[in-house]
Amino acid sequence: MITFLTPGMLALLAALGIPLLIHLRQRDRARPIPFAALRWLHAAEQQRRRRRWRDLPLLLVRLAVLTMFALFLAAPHWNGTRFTPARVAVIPGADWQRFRARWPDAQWHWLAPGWPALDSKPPAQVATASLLRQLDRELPPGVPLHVLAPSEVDGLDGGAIVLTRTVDWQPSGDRLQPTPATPNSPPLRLALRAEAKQTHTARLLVQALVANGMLATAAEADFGSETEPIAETTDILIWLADTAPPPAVHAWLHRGGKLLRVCAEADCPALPDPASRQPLRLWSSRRGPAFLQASAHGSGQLLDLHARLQAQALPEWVEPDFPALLRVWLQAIDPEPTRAPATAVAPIRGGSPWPVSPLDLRPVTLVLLFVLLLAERWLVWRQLRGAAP
Amino acid sequence: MGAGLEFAQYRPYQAGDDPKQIDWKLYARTDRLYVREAERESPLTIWLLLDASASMQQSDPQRPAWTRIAAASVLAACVLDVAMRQGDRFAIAALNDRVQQQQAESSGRRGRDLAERMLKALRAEGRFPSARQTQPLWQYLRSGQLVVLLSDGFDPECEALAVRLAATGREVRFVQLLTASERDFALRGDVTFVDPETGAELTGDAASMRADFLARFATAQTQLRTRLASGGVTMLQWVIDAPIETILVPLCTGIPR
Repeated sequence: MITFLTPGMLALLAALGIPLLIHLRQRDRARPIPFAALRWLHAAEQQRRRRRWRDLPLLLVRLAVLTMFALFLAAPHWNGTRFTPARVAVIPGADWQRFRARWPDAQWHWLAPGWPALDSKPPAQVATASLLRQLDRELPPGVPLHVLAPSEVDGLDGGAIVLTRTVDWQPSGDRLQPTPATPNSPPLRLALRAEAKQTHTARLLVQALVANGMLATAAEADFGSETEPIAETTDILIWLADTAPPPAVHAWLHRGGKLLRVCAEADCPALPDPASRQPLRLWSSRRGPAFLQASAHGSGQLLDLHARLQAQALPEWVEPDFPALLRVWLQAIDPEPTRAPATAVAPIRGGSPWPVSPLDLRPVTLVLLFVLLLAERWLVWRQLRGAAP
Repeated sequence: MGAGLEFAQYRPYQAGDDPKQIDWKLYARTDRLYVREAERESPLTIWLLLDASASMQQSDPQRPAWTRIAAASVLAACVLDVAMRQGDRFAIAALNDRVQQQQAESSGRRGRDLAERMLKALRAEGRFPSARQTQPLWQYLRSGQLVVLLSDGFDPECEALAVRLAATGREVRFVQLLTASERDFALRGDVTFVDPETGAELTGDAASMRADFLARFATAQTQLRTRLASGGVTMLQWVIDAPIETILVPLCTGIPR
């Protein structure tokens, strides 16, 4: 159905009367001249009729030009359904060859950002649930959607897949994908660097890390003085020194390391490169002035604990749930499960469909208007050339 | 124009006559002034009859002011001048159904000036007078006089008048004045033709009507010439875009070129 943004402009259609009037006047355009020898003059009626018919295309084109102009100003929009072929989305890993002949007219593509065609290389891990929701929103209502899924779907998130249409969910069940090993996150490689006077504190920290499960045994920790270099594969470094970390540590931090500094003094020594954003206070003590603030350095994260690791400065230090608190600080959280059997996560229907934005027909009318204008000029030009002696 | 016939007659005096011509003896007897024309060799009398109907107002687009009536007036003035120089008598009358303008028979410079003044004020309007309306003319137009009729020749009444004048012993020279449009019909496009006398209209594409019109018109003029010739009228044709000599010489000699 066509709607108009400014239907008032359709009043311009009244201007259609102008070419009609001009045309009617043109018919009487014949200039009168006195002619006494009238009785020997006989009209050639046929000639006149032909002339009138010759003008008819010009009149029609002019009417069309005005109509198109009024339509253009009225801004027509098409908000009916547009023809869209059925879609077949293939989740990487699905046995899609088996279904190839079933929907020959449908549009086939991977369920991946940008909807790449099946000719292209199968994409790696995708956010399946999110992409399904996106595809559902992008398709106009009523377009059938077939999804070919492997028997086990990865890339899920916490939410159910609620789509606005009934999806033809096809798990290719007969060819089970090999289930990868249970996603045990690889053990974190922790390193501690402490100056001599804080060695004892460092040992207590290692105990806390063992207590909260981040270290299997105390011996696993890479423990050393502040001058010892750290391994490149280190995930988390705890720095217990009043001196600034050496440049090697800066470089490691920039590449994606996570550094927890315990600043004994009021201010930790500033790193040579500034943080890319304002430091964010992650945690504040309820019973003292201590706080933890985080700042991004390159791809890495710098955590500054502004407190001495003593009961006076940090009462939490001596409490039994300090190990859990330390784990929260270091954000060592297990990944959420993202895999599930395909039959268990079949999309369910719900929600209202996304309103389809109407198709703006103004460019079409504009192009038609120009074509009609050219046609009108051409007709006039041809007529003038024909009338010239 | 040659010398006039000699004949004797008395004529009432009218303004412009030479007082020497008045027959004083007769005046003594009748107490009225009569001019004695018998005592001298009577010159020729030329009557100029101008068609002053609306059709004479027509002109060509190339020269809108040069209407048929303007051309007729100039031609009449030329004839008057020639007549005056020859000592001929002349009279002039404009014919239409509204106003009868007439300058009585006279001669000499004064008579010519009066006639020319009348010509200057002449306007073409209305239709050609009927036979009844031209009746008063006959009392002045005497047998044997030379009548020059200037008209487009489209009115049957005009043609009838010419034939009747010739039949009753006047020598009639009929000058037909045509416009270039009637000769060439060089018009194009849609044109509404209006008959200035009847108001009748005809609209059409001029170019497509040309051939038919030229054929019909030529036939009609040939027939007119034949009818006039058989009625004893000499017909001369002047398309008014031609120089005036082309008509003046044949008119004065009476020999069509």
